[in-house]
Amino acid sequence: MRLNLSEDQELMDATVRRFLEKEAPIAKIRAQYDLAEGCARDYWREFCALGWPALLVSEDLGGYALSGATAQDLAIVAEEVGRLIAAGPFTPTAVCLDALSKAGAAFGEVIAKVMSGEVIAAWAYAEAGDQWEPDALQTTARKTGGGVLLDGVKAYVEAGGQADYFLVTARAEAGLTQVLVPKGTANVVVTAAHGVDFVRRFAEVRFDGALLPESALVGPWAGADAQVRRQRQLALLLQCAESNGAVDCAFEFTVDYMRQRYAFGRPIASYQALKHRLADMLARIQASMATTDAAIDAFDAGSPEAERLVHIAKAWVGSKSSMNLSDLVQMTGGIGVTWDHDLHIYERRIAVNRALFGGPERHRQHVHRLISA
Amino acid sequence: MESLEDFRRRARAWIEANLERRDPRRPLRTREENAALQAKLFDAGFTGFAVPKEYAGQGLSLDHQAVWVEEAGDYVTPQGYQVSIGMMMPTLLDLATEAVKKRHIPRMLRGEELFMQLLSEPSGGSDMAGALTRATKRGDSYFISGSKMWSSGALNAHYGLCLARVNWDVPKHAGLGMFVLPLKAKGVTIQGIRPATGEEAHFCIEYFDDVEIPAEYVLGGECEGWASAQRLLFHERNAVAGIGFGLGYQTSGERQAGGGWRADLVSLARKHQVLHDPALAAQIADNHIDSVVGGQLSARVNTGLVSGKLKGQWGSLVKLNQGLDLPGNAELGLSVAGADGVIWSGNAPGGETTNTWLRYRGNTIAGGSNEIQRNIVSERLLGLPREPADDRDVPFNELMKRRQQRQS
Ligand SMILES: Cc1cc2nc3c(=O)[nH]c(=O)nc-3n(C[C@H](O)[C@H](O)[C@H](O)COP(=O)(O)OP(=O)(O)OC[C@H]3O[C@@H](n4cnc5c(N)ncnc54)[C@H](O)[C@@H]3O)c2cc1C
Repeated sequence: MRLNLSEDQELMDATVRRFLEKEAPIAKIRAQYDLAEGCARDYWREFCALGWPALLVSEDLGGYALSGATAQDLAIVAEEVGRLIAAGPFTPTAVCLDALSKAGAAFGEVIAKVMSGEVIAAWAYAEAGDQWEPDALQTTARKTGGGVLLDGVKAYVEAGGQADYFLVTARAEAGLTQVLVPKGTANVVVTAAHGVDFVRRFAEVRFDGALLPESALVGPWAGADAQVRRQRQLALLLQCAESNGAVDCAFEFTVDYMRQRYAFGRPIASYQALKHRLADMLARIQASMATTDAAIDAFDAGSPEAERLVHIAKAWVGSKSSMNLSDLVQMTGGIGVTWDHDLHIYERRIAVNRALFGGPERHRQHVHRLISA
Repeated sequence: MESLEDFRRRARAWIEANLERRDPRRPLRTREENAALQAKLFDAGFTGFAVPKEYAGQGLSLDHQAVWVEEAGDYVTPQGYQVSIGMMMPTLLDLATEAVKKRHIPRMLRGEELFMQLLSEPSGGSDMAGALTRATKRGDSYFISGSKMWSSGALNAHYGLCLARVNWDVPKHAGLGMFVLPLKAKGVTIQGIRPATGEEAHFCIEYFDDVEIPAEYVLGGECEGWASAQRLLFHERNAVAGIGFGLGYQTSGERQAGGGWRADLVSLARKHQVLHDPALAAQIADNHIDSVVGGQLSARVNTGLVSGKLKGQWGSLVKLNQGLDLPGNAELGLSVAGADGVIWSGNAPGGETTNTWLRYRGNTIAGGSNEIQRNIVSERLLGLPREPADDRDVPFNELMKRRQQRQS
């Protein structure tokens, strides 16, 4: 969490935390492991009712601004979501609302429903084979007499099985195009995927000549490249904030345990071999928060530095968060590798976040490209 | 108090009219040039931002100092005052008697007097409370005898803050005093220690033979030297981390958070034409990431200390992070430069990557080693229990006896 939140932000943080602790404690998350939907619709509606989705929407479409820095405000929610490995399509909702709100009043009705949690929107972006780069997308959009024709397969679509709408990023000849596709559209096939997260669900979505009216275009035809880059950055930033919350919480409960666990007549937390590892970890955790916040600030300010700083944040957080979790398991001892201990629930979320929107290695490559340009 | 915006405007105007733009190709300034520049800043009212006016400061705040550092970032500012102004000055501000503050802080701020620290001894640096240097009171003065070691800048400095044992019959932390020791006084012998790089000596060993210190030059109470040392170290870690009073006084010429000597490996790799070498590319990128994140961490801690969300020795966390980052940077420098970094033809200077590598350990040891920072972070920031120790509650004399018995 950032260290100079405004009063409004503190209040929002406290509200979100209280809600999640009550409605989505880790025991509930455990119980939802076998739930195909990942979470109940009622819970999702109540979570949205806290108001955070409106931060992404312009005021004329029913949204509102807290600090005016959208990603900064949302990251507060993301971190709380991470702390409890909460369920629900948090990032897809944020990304879709950002795109729809920017596309304008034509989507007013859908926006209102997504904001209230009444419907779920998923971002159908990446493609099979770990493809997360805009340049690698092969799903095509073509204009025909009757509208827009989509062909291709989207993979790793979060909340794809639960979604009422898909925001599809596709390639038109001259550039990227985004289309809003309602569930049940002809020639759209959704297949649930399996995943390691306790409550996040993913799907594959296949478009075999799905025909949409031109009114389904979100933003300009073949002119969505910048918006897609923005969406990817937003998703990465929220993901980093979420991972930071998850690691911070796992760190807290593990350190508490280490104070109480005795070996050779004293708490294991008094052994220098472990204390020094915790000190290094605290530095990594604080640095993770620092780099995430710095990237968020650049994103919110529309700075040209945002691209590099977002890649840096993901490269750092992606690799350090899993390193931290591994170390916490080691210091917990045998109980840390059991099903009944919570650490693996955190490890699973961290593993998913590490991979989604490109692993740290990919982002490190981008950093290399940018610094050697 | 002047608003930050007004101050920014005033500072910017003065900087533009009076300071030179930073030029990385220009060699570091000489001591005289730095002193002249420091005096110029002082005379114009751009030092000691958070120091009260009665000590010739500006009576503003650390936020003003931060604004100054932002505005002056691309300009040449004086080097070599990190210890004296960044660390020792705030320590005096916290602990010195009124007369000493009035006499010395203005001179420190103007760069006329340099202060440094005399904590480590030949017998040990990490265990600072084990100091063997002796302070004996006679009349209104203390007399110091013993030896200090690794003291950076002692040859040029005027005063050193010296930890010495006043009472040997109480446990080790309870018998120490902190003294402002005049380095040019009778009874002081100073010898340089040549560092592994072969450069000119910058740290020293000192021998004290009955050096007189008037009682008003004790910092804190006569036996409160341990608490005074903690205060000093607090300011030291902040200065190294580039936060608090130390903001802007980092020793490196880079606009890098933290004082660590960190090579710019991207430029180096470009020079050696290995920036795109597949065996090195990922490591070079990681190294860039580490350097950026290190600065971001420092800024975060600074924000937390200003907002009050963080309290205490968080400078140690930043210092630790540097201590983790620097070894990687220095070693990767060896790979990037390859054979040309260790063997070269012609008379041009060379071997800089090796020198960096020889030098970086200085940063992971000086000011408390990485291990000591980890102890501080885990015990003071995380509140974890200390390791059992058998030296804390025993009179120091007794401790010495025990040790002799064990060693014999
Ligand atoms: C470039 C440089 C500049 C310096 N400038 C100054 C100065 O201006 N003034 C000054 O007073 N001193 C200065 N020092 C001294 C510095 O503070 C000491 O070197 C440092 O505190 C370590 O002390 P030592 O060298 O005696 O090593 P030791 O204390 O003997 O330590 C040796 C090793 O043991 C480890 N160790 C010690 N205790 C513990 C413990 N409890 N737990 C785990 N590991 C431990 C240390 O980390 C180190 O790795 C400087 C040192 C350097 C390198």
